[in-house]
Amino acid sequence: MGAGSQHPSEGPARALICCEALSFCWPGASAPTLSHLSLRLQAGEAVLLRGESGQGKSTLLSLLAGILSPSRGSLTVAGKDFHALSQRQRDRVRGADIGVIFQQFNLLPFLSILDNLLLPIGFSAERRARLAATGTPPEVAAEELLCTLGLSLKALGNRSVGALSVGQQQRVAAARALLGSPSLILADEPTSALDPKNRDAFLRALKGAQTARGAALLCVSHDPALEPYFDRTVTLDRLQGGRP
Amino acid sequence: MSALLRLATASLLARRRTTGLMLLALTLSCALLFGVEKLRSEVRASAYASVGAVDLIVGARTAPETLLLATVFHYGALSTPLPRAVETRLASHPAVRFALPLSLGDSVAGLPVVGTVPAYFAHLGITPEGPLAFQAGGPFAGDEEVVLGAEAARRLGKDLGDALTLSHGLGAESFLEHEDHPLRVVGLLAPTGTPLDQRVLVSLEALHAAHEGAASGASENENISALLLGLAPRAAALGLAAQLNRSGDPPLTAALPALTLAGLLRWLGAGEAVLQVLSAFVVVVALAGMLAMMLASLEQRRREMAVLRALGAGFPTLLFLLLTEALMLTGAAISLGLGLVHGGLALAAPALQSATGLALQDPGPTAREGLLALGALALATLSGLLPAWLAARRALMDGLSPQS
Repeated sequence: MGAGSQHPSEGPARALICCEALSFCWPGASAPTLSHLSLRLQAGEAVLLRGESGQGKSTLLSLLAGILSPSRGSLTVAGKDFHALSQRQRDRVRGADIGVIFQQFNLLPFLSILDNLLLPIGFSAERRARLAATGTPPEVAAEELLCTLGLSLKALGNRSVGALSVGQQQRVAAARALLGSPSLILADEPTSALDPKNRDAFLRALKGAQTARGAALLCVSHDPALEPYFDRTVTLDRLQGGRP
Repeated sequence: MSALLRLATASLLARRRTTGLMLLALTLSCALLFGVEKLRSEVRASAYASVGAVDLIVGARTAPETLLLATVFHYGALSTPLPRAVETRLASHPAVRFALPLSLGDSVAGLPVVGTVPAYFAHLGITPEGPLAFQAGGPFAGDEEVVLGAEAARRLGKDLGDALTLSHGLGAESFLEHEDHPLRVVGLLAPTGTPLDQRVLVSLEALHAAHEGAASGASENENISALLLGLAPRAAALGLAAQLNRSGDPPLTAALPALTLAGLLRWLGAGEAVLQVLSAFVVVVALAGMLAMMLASLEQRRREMAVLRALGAGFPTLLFLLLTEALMLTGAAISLGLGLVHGGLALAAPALQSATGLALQDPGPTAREGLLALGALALATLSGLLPAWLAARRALMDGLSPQS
């Protein structure tokens, strides 16, 4: 649970995220948002990425999720070279191998909690297939994940999404991100809308579920209080070698 | 695919107030479009039904349009009488199945009085070849009997057995009232939705007797206004018309009613086109409203798009989703609009018929309505493309974290 150390020396075959000398410049911007960034994340590893707001943390997440395409450098996620893939193919990789948790408003208010949970398997045939291979019906798998995160559909009953507390919504979002066993979870400030008590409870639950499922977790936050929950902490400054 | 349809439905239902209002506007505009089309096809169907089984209309020399309008629609008058001898001559023609004399020009309370023969009822049914249907009674037999069209009976307030007097000349008020020639109502025709409903039908003799009282020429009985011919084979009409139009003693005009009517309707078509273009514009305006609604909702749906994007939805998926919403709304509006027009007509038809004598000729949606519906859907696709494209573009620019 140490903070600050760079990636452990494991083979590149086990690296889930591997980016080298990555640069990204928004169209029309004079200076690149990210430059010469290198990052490695092993399978099953939980890493906290810290940095002040406006430094490009969200841009990096969009790059890793395949929504943006890097201007320069190499980027491999879940064994796929994002440079070689089209936007559509990257969308498919995201649907299949990546779960995303936002700061808040993760859930569609017009769907039930269960329908929100089942959304990813509606979008990705790979996730659907992986879930089918376990032999567990999707509804049961969703309920099991929710239980790992300390919630229960039965206890929540027919409550609408809007009736859940923010902490509960974040747990449902985490369960949804994990359904269908993606290999990577990207979380963008998932606790910034929570008070410290709820934050700690959520992180314990998220970390527990992530460890149990063997997914890698990259969490972006400005909050140093999150560090104890992660295998290591990196900062944007340190990832970008040549930057002041 | 089906997951996306469920998503689109749920999203529309979640915004049910704006969706409902939009659906209302679209439905009403579609109903107007289909209503105008229905009106157009009803007018045409009614016009052709008015011609019925008549293959040729023969009168003294005049324009074919004048002949058709005067004999079928009671519009305008035939000034030159036709000698009754022409009827006798034509009735013996081998191709003539029936020759029905018409004597026009009289009215009762503004309703046209038609002098004819009892065979008229046997030949001029609404279904070709069939006899005319009566609600009560039957054809007149003598010169003191009268048969009323459905609307005429209603307007005159006459029933079977009631007495009726004729007046000379067209017009609601005639100074020549022949109180001394009361006729007895012996038949009430069933509604047909054609000008026949307004007619007062009497025998030529009855009409003649009325005129005698007014000291008209004794020879008037020998003159009629026009002849309605039914032919076998019907294709003989063209040749017979050409032959009659050449004859000089007396000079005759033979009009092919269907052909003449088609010419008149073509001329009327300009007015119909204006109505149709207007109603199409109303649909365009409603679709523009839908476009405005969709564009306005994009801002509040930015989060929704970002979530779908994070789940792996790409540009085509978002495009499909928003386009589906536009098409579902328009499709529902089209179905409701059609239902409104046809359901409304079906429900109102009995009341309409008993109140105005107007009978619908052609129930059920037509192929043209299908074409209009397809056109509306195509327009909806076009107008749905813009917000869909904008939303999908912005979801790309927003990346994973839209600024809210």
